[in-house]
Amino acid sequence: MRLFCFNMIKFTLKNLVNSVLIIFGVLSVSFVLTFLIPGDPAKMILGQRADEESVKSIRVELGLDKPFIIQYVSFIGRTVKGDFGKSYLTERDVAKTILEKIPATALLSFVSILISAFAGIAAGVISSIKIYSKKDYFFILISLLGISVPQFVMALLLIYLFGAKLNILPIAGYVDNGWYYIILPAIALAFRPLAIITRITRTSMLDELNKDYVRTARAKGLSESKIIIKHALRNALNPVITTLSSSLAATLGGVFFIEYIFNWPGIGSLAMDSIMKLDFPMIQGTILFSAIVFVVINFFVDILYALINPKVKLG
Amino acid sequence: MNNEEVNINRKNSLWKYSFIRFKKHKLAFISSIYLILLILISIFAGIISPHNPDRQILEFTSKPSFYSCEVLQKKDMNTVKIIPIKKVLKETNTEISYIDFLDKEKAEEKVNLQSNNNSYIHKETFILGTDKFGRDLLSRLIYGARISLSVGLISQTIAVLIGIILGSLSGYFRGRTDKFIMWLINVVWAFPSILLVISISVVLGKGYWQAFVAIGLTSWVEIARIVRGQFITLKESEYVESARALGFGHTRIIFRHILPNAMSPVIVTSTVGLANAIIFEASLSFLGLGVQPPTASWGQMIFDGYKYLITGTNFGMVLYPAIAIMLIVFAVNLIGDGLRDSLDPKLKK
Repeated sequence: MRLFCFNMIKFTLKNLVNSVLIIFGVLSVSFVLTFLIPGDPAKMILGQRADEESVKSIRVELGLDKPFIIQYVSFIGRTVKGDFGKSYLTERDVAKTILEKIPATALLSFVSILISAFAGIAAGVISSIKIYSKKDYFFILISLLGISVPQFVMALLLIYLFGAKLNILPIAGYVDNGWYYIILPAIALAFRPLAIITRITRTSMLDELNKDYVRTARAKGLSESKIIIKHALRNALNPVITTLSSSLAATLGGVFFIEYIFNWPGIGSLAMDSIMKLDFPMIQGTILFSAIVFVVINFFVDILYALINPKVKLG
Repeated sequence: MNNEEVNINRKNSLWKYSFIRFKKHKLAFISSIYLILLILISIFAGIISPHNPDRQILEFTSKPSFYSCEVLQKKDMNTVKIIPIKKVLKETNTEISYIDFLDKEKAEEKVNLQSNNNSYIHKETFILGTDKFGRDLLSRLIYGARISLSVGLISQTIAVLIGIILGSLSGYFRGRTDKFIMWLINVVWAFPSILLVISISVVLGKGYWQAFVAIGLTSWVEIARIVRGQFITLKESEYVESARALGFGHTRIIFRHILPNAMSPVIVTSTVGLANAIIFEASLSFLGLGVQPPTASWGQMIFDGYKYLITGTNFGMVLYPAIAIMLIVFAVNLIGDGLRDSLDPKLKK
């Protein structure tokens, strides 16, 4: 036990160092990208017709007249302090704007992950019990579709079907107006992880159902539902949880197309809007934010994994 | 080894067996036929497509499927002018009078039909209808296939090249090289890929090649990871050990001995990558950052139609390109499944 604790601390520290290094890399890449973007930021702030004097003063103010290395160091310093700069367009603080958008994105991403987890696991279990049945083929087809349809296409199809044709669900807006505003974006977002989870649950369940302990349980005379839910499913869930956590990590950083199409006021919409308007500090801020969220969540998932699963090698 | 033996060896090669297994995977086989067909269509787009995909006839805005109408084609000098006709009132060998399409008023025009062979009346049919600029949707779909396929193929070539080089270096040499490359992989992995693609294409500028490069530069990560994993296991195998004992250099061992054996998962992953690249291109074009108009691209077509989704008369503007994207990604994914089963039978349950 003591050894385990020691190893666990070592593992955590090592992971922490790794994550910090990755975040550092993320910062560097995003700085280089912004540095390379054609066009003068000073002119973007002031407009193309600004006079030389004010362009110069803005360049000095932003530190754009300094060499690459100094700009880089000051960028890293500022970002570490949580200062992501100001929007070119609205002059609002980027970090503050992003923080305001977190709840919307988090709500959407949690709801859709819940939908995809429950529906996907259920579909996968049914598929694996009734293998090669009509239900099985149906779920296989649905999951293949879910992997093949781009998210924005899915969103548009849902809008057309439920918004334009049946006219039963709102097609744009936030939950301020009523809880049902989340239905369509959540479904559109859930479709792809749902498909992947269905597939993974199915193969993983099939693996487990063929194992000796299931046969033993059957020989003991346990009911089939107990065998499936209490024994097989519990063991089959490991790869499912990995998938769920990675898609949560990906969506929490912003759901780009879905938020944009459904006019959902989250980080994804913010990023898309900034891209359309070429508001570079905001673009950079949102990219950094989602990369950091990804790294941080993966850090915790790795540690959680090591705690739960004794097979994970520590060290 | 005599000739006969060589023949037998050829017959029983890995690829032959794989092909036999692949043929048994019916859905994958059908999908590959579909893909080949699509490649042929995009190569011969100029011959197959019924209309010029960029020709705008503003009178024919958002017409439904199977819309057809008579037009008067006039050729003066080098320009071809197309005048839609609502109704032909009188037609002789030398003269025509008709009702104009736009004004619904009776307009008459004298056209010498006989002396000038280039002017004539004919019927134009738009099988899938037209978009908001009155361009033929079917022709645009056919030309759009070119973009999607070439984006998929070229960006995956870039991704596979980078992925193989970095993955094999890190898996073969381990140590510091491995640590550095793994760090690089994790950094690229952490970025939301669509935003990274967007930023790279903003840096490179909007356009055709920029989209290819941007997608290629972001999707090598998965391939590098897989190649690395393969190299780590294969490096310990006996044949590599004996190759080393024979005194072969690193380059030879990497390229001649390990890499060929590591290829099948790479092929499978790059087909999935191909599907993702097609989705990426569509997404980029949907944001107006991909192929620039008027060049037809499926994502661009969806973007054009999307604003008219609720009010538009031809829902096909969105539906057909969406179906086209779905079908090709579906097909490529199925091919990937088939390849996985046939190239690596160990994986098959």
